[in-house]
Amino acid sequence: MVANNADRLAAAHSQSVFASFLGIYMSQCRSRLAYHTGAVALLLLAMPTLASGEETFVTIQKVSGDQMLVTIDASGTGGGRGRGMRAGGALPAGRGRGRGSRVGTTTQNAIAVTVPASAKITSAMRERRTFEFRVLAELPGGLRHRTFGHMQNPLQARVVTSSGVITEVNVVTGVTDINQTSSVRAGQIVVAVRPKRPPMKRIP
Amino acid sequence: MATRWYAVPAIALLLTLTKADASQAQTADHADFFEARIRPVLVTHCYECHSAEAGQSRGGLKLDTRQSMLTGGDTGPAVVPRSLSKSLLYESILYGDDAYPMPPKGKLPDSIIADFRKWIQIGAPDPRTPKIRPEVQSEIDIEEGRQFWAYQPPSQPAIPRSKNSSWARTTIDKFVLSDLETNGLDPARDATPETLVRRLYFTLIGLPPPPKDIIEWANRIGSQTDVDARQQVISDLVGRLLDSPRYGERWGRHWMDVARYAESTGGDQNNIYQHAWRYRDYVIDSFNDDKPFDQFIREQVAGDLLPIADELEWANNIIASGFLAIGVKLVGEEDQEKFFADLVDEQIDATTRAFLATTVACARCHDHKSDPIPQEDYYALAGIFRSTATHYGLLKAQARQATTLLDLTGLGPSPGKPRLDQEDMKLLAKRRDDAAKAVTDAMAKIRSGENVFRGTLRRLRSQRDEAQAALQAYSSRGEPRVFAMGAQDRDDPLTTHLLVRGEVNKPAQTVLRGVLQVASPPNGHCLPNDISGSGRLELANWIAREKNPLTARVISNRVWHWMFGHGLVRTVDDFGHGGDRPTHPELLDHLALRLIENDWSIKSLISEVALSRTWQQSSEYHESNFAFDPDNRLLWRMNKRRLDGEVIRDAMLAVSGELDLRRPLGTLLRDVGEGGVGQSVFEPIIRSIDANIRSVYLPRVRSVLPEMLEVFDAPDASLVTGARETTSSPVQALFLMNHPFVRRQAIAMAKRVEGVSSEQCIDALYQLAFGRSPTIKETRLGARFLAQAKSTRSRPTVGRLGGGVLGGGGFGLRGRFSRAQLEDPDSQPMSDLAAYCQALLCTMEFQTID
Repeated sequence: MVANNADRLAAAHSQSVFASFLGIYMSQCRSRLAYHTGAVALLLLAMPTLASGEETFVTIQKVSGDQMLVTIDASGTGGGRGRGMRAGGALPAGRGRGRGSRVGTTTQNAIAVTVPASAKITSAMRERRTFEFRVLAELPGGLRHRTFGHMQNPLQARVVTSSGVITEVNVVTGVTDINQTSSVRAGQIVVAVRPKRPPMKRIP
Repeated sequence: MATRWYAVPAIALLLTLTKADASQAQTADHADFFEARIRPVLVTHCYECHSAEAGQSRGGLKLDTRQSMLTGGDTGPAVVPRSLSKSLLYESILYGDDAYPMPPKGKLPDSIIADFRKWIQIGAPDPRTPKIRPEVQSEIDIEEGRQFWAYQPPSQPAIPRSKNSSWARTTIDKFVLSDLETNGLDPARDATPETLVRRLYFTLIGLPPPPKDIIEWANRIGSQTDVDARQQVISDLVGRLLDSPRYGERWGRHWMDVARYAESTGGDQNNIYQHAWRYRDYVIDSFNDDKPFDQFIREQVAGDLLPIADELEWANNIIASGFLAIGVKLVGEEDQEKFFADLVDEQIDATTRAFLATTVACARCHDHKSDPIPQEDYYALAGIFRSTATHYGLLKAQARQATTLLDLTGLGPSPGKPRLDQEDMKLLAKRRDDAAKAVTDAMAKIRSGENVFRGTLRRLRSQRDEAQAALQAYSSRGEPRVFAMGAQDRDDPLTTHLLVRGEVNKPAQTVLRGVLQVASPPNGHCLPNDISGSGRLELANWIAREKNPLTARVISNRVWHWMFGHGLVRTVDDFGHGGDRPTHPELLDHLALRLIENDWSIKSLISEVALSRTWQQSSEYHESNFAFDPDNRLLWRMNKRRLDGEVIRDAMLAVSGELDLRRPLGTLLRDVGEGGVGQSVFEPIIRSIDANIRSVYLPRVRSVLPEMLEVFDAPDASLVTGARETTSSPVQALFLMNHPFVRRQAIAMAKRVEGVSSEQCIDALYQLAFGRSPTIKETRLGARFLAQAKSTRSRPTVGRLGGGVLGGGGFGLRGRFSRAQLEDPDSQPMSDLAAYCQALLCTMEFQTID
């Protein structure tokens, strides 16, 4: 089952090139109800598999339990604005290279993938100057982390698979420190946070 | 009729289930077929060139997983289920004309080829599941490891009997004497009362005794004819010294060496920890309060999680957890994951070395080479620290891996700085706005195509954040906020994998959080699954429990080391196979159990040791004893030892009468602002810092220690340092002869004895510096020096002993001891008496206790 998720990701990745496959399964994914009930997990596609250590750039539309509803970033190098000359690689027809080329897909193309419990979920960022994709600290709780619970907008991410299994999901969450605290709030740096209150001593 | 209709779906269901059962059975048969007939052939004939294990994939083909077989290599899928014609693997083993003949060493027998044919026709069933993560197995035998002395629980030893029963005054003495007698050695004589008083002062409070105290206590001790009465007087003195606030400053400094306390990150950037001083003060207060050591451990490892009685206790507990935050950090590291792994590693190393004298961090990359610590144990501990958030501060614009601090405002601790009035607040706000505008302007220039040097932009951002931080350090009414370094539990624990060779991108099996197997009961090392936090509290309780075989022994040994200069286990930070064995194992157990018995009171343990006759021996030389035991492992005398750098400095200030005993508010580094060494504060300023406070309160910046401390072997705080190095180098002598600080103390010391005859003066100076009267020869020599100096007063080099050497050939005039630094702008020509005082301060006797 887990391997199938990776297959589906791989398949979806292939479809950015071979768009003809898209219709086969996208119609099934359009049913949001199916997603919410977990029925999307029945999606099985026998597509060419991944080589070891493959990465796919996606946009996470929604997270529920151990499943993510994702759309594949068509450029294959991660979405985001203004990657400049660093975009690199072959781009699909119609996609411009350089600054200002907007990349992204809509939820209509979304697929659901199940993330195995063993997969590492981390935050990530794009380096401000070089736009290099940089993996940051691990998110405690994985897909249960507050980043996914309070999702207002889709999140860009990189999904890493190994031998057909999702091993890592790196989610672009903005700049955070190793404790997952944002370094800036309302334009001001965050210097200190209040500690969590421990229990009171029992009075005998 | 209706009944018959109901029966139809039931039969259909039954048939379906039967078919499903049959299908499952068939699948199992197919899997067996693959395992029996296909996999062995692949392993024997193919894996050599086409498997991950062999590291080979000729033609891009691997045959060790189902996926890779179906994907195939450069020429296409190796196997297409149910299609012999499309399966290149089958074509190859047929040795057909259009395919690569495989295996290259010779065609397979027909029966095997028939098996492959059948296998592909039935759908190429392949139950092999890819192993994404390797399993690292340990070869360490934990049970065997438990037999090592350090992992055996301490047991109450029988008190040995000795021939010379009158010598021993305490149980400690009985253990020591027994070993001495076994080896035919005699204990040394008792130290003189003066020596003993001086030893007690330096050992317990790190300061020399004032002359009147020496006379008073020496007389009281010396006048007692009864042993018990003598012991009572010594006990009174010990009690008085342990009650002094100076005791916490001295013994807190010992613990700070162990806790690798410093006020900067170390590494290339060496950013300042502006709030580390709170941990320093916590340690000093804990020793002064004689906090039970088990509680001291709990607070440092998991203070933030302990139940509290009030807000102040909460704040103090959080400050205590700063133990986990004050270590070395390479905050410029780009890779956050690697940085985090290194941070956790540092925490594991500090915790296990400091409390358990065990080098667990050696098991980060592989099983421990000499101790029974499998790699899995390291990652079990790592799971606990990975689930902990460490708050050490710094600014993002200055350090890539900055974090937040903990805000303790309103919880009770002193802010450590005064409040600001509205004018000052306005100035701070203006500074912040100006700094923000400078960044905005620079960015606007960049957008308009103008070139702005990257370093300039970085500096502007740094200044902006620094100004913001400075303003945020106060409330809107100018009240200073209270920040501290410390630890907190994460909302959820992080899953931890064992890392192959310790590389973050090579995870192996998942490891449950836990503690060291070898120091736990069998199967009792994993933390329960239902714990809610990181597991730090459980770890702290495990370390601090009485049954832990290491904890009480380790701290008892440390106390022994700080009292004698050497531990019963000389490698005080390593109780493993790589370290030394205890010279007196039964005595060590006795001390450990006494510590626990006395509610983990360090003061009680110190008192017990100080009252032993072993500790009160003189350091006199004994030829036959020395020939047998030159290292004094059997404790046949007291060890003569050089004082620590801090104590030498404090002693100079004390004898000159210049010592300021007040605890400074906060830290001297507090006012320099955020930043690193070379940015907000410069190296020469720290090295030549001019203050008369006790050395424990001097800035402790990694790699940049005040000169005197560095010259006299103060540790750099990069690692846990239970035992300091003691070197002897010409630099120390040159420092004492030339440094303005020493000369100032000599001048001040001379002023204390001005106006009396030279004999009286020499006597007073000897009492001050050495705690004794001079011998006749020493008085004569001193008097002659002072008389000669009068006659040659016009010589310019009197004021600087050794100045001729330094000034002559240019040696030593570069670098740290350049002439610019040696020149003291306030210096005046030294008086003869001051030069004499400096000579006394330069002696080895001043720097040693015996």
